Amino acid sequence: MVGNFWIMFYLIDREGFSVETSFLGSINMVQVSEFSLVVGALALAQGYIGPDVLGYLTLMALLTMTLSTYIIAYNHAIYERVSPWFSRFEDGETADREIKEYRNHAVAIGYDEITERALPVLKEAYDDVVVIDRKTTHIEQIKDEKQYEYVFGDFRHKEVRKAANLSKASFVLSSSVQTEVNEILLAETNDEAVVFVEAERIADARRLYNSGAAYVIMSTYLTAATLCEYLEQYFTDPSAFEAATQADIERVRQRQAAAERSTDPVDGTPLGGGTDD
Amino acid sequence: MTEVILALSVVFITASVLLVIANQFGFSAIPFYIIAGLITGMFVDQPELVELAQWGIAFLVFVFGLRLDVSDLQSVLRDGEVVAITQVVVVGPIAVAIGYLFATSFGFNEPIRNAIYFGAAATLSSTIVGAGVLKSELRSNLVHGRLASSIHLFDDLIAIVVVLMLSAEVITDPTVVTSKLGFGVLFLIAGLFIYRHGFELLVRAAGGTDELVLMGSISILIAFMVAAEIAGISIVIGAFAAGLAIRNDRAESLSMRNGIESIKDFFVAIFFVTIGALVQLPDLEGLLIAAVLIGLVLVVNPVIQLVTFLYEGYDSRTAFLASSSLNQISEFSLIIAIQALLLGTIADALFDAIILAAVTTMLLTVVGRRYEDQLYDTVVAPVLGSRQSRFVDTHSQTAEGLSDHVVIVGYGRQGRQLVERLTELGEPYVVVENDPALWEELDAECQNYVLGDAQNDYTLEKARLSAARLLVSTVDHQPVSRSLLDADTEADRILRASSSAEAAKLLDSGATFVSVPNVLAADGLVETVREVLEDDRELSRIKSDQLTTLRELERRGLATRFERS
Repeated sequence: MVGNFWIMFYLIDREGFSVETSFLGSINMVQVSEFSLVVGALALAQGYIGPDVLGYLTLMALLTMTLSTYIIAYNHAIYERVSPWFSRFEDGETADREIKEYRNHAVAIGYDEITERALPVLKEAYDDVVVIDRKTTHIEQIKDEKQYEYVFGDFRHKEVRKAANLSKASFVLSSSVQTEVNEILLAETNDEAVVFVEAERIADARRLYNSGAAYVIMSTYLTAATLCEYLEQYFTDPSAFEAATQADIERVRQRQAAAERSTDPVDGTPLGGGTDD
Repeated sequence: MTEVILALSVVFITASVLLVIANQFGFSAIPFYIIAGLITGMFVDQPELVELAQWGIAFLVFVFGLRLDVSDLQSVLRDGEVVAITQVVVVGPIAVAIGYLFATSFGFNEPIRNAIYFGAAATLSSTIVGAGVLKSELRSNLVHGRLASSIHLFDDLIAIVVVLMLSAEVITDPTVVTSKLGFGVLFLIAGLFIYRHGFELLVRAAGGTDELVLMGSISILIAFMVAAEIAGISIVIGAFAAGLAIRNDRAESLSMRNGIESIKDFFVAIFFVTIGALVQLPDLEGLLIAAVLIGLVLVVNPVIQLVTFLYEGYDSRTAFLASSSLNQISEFSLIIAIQALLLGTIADALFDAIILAAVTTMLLTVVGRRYEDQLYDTVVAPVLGSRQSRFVDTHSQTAEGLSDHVVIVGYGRQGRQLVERLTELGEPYVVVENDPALWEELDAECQNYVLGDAQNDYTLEKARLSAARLLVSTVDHQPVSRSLLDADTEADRILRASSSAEAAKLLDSGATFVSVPNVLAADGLVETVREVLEDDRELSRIKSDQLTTLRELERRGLATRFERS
């Protein structure tokens, strides 16, 4: 625990990193790795060591893992304590560059006809717009746009949500109609975030509002309302009907063209997508 | 240990190669696992794999119990219960009788048990193989999707009961059988109790850590399985009760589901491969049994279901499509068979026959799905045509000489709002809908309606489509859209699609307009997003506005009728 720490500290500091980085980097290394146990077990099976050696190794692993868990958990606090003493190693250089982390950004879950229209509006208001999608075709389209960040993966997995830094997002737009996905979304975003989710049934919409959603998209009803408007225009003002439907048809064609430009064939099943009964 | 690893490697490598082929042709994985087993079984002989296969059974049934939403049961069963019961009541005894005939003439030990195994294989037609295909049809809320999934569920539940009964050592002794049933019920009650109270405790104890919730759930599964062993009933019941015990609707359940699905996939692959490996090349007896089984499953079952559906008032296309998704041997029958093999109560010939018949029917189902519509058009429709037309006549109401009207296909949420608007505008319309459950409402609420299949010429004739001014389809199903495009009429056609790609194709084929829900909803959404971004105090107003709208919709009777996801 002591030796490793100092060796790593010296090596990292030598590379030119700041004292804080070197300290934190090396204090995370003060345990016996599980791989040592694997090697030990193999060595035992091959007869190079006796069981007592393996036992000792395991005991050391247990001890160091236990202690290092707490050390790592409080590594920043420990650094605060000892930084005065460590400042003697300071080289007076500038602080290290922070790895980019999304903060106060907008997140869109699922790249389909709904989110696609909302993204430009979000881009005006937020520096970073991150799109999470699990289809390679959609990711390719986003890449082509060159405007938005993306995370390729299934939102249901924790790592994906972490990669998009969901807890620090300011605005989240979900076009998934699965309630459990939306519930997780509402649970993991912070209280100030504005969250738009989608639902198919009125009971689900109410539940989502209770869980903190800002707005619940109900595409079937929105569609029905729009369709009724178009229907009325068909009878009362045919030229307006023409104009409105043409605009929608344009959008459909644009989306299809964008999909065709990406290399794989479009499978045509968006995440949202109303059902009717 | 190394022999098991070797056996597993052979299993998985063979399976992978076959799966690549399966994927190319769009087949499902399961029959190919069994084929991989058939191949490897000739070279590799591993008793340890059978142990692992038991875990496959447990996880399969566990995930089934997990996915079963107890509150959904009522609404799901309501749809197809008559057909399901009819099929079991009619086909079941016949199949058991045929099985008994085989058992006695071929001289099997325990003829009654073997007869029941044969009967179960012939009657139960639920499946995981077909379930994947059904999912998309269920989402579009097509009637035949709902019917089929309802029957699947019913068959699964019957299968659980059958498995329970068969774990009795002496099935002709009623006291033993009832005690087994009693234990089974106890287990289910325990499962439901944990569902209500225990799972919350587990999640709280786990502090929301995903790993702990997963480990806790698997511990529950193992505990139930051990308890089942001790009580002398099949582990299948234990696994099923454990599945019921785990709640699926919590946010924490999501990552637990992810973890369990992966484990399940692994063990399930082993299960099906092991089944294949246990099959010997069948002799004449086995082949004969397999042939009769296939005949029952492919022909007799669907025909009985078809007839019952027609009797219930569904149109012939719906009846045909629903029953044709039910023509394979259920995985539960395979579970029954392998458990019987381990207990030594099944004749070898029957075991081989069941497995071979299962593989054949599973493969044929997938092939059949491609040509379903053609099969219907060429074979079924002509036979049932006139009967269907009489049905449409008695279940419709259209004004004489109706013309220049709007034909609305589908009386769901969208259809109902459109009808409301047309009534306000004073324009004439005809509603075309194929779900007999809506007949009363159509009669009460619609000026004109036709209860029939929108892809059927007679139905469209009855709706006087040729004289119509506008056709609006609210049905999200390609075949329907296509056949409406082909229909003989000068009317403008507004169709529906779920994606832009589909919509573009329909537009190219001549549709006046295609509504893609996401595209239409996007306009309103972007407006809302803009409002919120400009001034977030708008949020509370937007929310209360929408809640008011939703209440309004409910009051007007436009809420979802079928609470199914």
